Amino acid sequence: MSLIEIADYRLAFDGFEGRVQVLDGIDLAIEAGEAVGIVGETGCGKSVLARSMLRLNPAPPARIVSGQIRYDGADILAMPPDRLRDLRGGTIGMVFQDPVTYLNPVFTIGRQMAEVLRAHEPDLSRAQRRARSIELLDAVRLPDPAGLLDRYPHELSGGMRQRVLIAEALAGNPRVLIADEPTTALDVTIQRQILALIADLVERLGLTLVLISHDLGVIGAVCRRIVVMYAGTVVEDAPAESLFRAPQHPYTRGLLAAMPDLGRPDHMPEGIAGSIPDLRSPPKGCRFHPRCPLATAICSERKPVLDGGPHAVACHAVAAAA
Amino acid sequence: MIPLLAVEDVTVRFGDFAAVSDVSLALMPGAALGLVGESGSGKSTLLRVLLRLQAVASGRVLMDGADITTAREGGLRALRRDVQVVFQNPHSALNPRLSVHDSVAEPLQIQGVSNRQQMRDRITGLLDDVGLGEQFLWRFPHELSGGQKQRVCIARALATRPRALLLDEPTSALDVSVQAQIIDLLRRLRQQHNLAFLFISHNLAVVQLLCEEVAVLRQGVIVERGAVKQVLHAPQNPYTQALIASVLSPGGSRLSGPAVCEGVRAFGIH
Repeated sequence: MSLIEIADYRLAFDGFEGRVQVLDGIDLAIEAGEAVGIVGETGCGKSVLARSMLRLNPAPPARIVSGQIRYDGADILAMPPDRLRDLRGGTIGMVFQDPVTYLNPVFTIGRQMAEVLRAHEPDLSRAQRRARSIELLDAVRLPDPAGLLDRYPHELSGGMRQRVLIAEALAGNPRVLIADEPTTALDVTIQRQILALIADLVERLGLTLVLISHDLGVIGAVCRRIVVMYAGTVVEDAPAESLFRAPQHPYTRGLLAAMPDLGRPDHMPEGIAGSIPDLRSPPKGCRFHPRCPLATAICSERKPVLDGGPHAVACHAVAAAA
Repeated sequence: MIPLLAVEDVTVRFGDFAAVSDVSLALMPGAALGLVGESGSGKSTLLRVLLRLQAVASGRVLMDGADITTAREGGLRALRRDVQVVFQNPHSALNPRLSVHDSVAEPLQIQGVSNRQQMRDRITGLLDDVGLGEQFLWRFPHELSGGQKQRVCIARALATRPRALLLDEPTSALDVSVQAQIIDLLRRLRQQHNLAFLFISHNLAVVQLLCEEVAVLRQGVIVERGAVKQVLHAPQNPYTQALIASVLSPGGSRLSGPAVCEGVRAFGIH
């Protein structure tokens, strides 16, 4: 049994202008200790999928159309509120994109750390909470953790704030860390430091990591397995080396061809023709087919499923060529 | 050759804080200069100085060799016409209440184009230049994708037939597949219209594709400048080296274990 199992998961949002079919039949199994990256462009559903793992999408407007999400065998979608509460921030920690908006500007770091600890370990004394806060801030390699407790968020740089949020995510002794674009708001040198920290924590604490990013460079730096999403579907799911060496799905290939690369000055990035579909009326069959250079008749009729194997791809053309 | 646009020993202060210190920079006609650096390094302040939107504490701003540091609006007419700007976020750079036609028409009206047919022809020509068909004329920003909006912003910038475009992170808010299209478009437009580019970005790989020269800013000071090939592939300054070492190339650099943390920590927590 996998630690996280998502099977045939379909999610829609009911909006004023109709139902948006955000996730369409997601199948994904994550083993304990894996570092998995989910990559895709705007609107592909990667953040919604990450939030689904904690049932954080507000319903309504979200509507679960079908499927299951299991954590350690227990169905998250049918979980009673108190168990869900233990899961959120407890067993599964989460870090978001913008460190500014997730810290309260009027409270000190110490007070915010204490609040998180009170939720997870109500029996701690004041002194114990302080000691634990210092320990957590030290774990994310912040200098002078004791002094930091009296500081306000605005006194910290973006990278330091993200470290504080990672420390808070670790407060519940999680087994899983979900990080949604944790470095997108940061400068490149800081990005590298935060990613190195995440990689280090995953190794030291034996965490299972789900890293969401639009940037294959970020994902490739930390994850050993990469899941590529397009328009609410998983199009490819493969070990990182294999994906970079031999991308199979036309969309993955397009994504890689579109990335400028400092190491290859002569590589001229190519865009992917067309634009992402309107998910109120997504294309029939394979959702990528209107933009796909390899599309044939079957692609507009039947949705391709992920083939088996360690390097899985959902594409009729790839299947036909094999 | 006289620089199209230049700053000489420019310092900008916000209170006691020097956002830009003693910076000299020149943009030659037809050249493409990249300006890289992290947040707070002074890139955007420098851009505002060049556009005469930001007063300087000391130093000079020159256009075609003439001092425009304190010129009034009348003396800035040439600057406003010949130097146009494209910003990072196309969503906020377009007025949501104006159609594509009306957004692009504004600079033309200021230039005195009043004939309706003439106006219409100019606008369709400009949209065609940026790869947008006539069907986009009467659309509003909310009906466009991010890439299409940025194309409209570029069309609007080209309306005055400028000699230089100042581009402030024009692809940073876009998806990579769209970014590639905009890079391609900018390269083509530069050639077609013999434009000079001042290109601000934190993305070194994009700078490499669009510029011949690059200057690296850190804390308001230029720490290194030179040909792209030189600066990005054989950097001399330790900060430039650290910046380049931080670039994560697609499929290349895996960070792993505490070893990297040590190396990274040596560079200091920000």
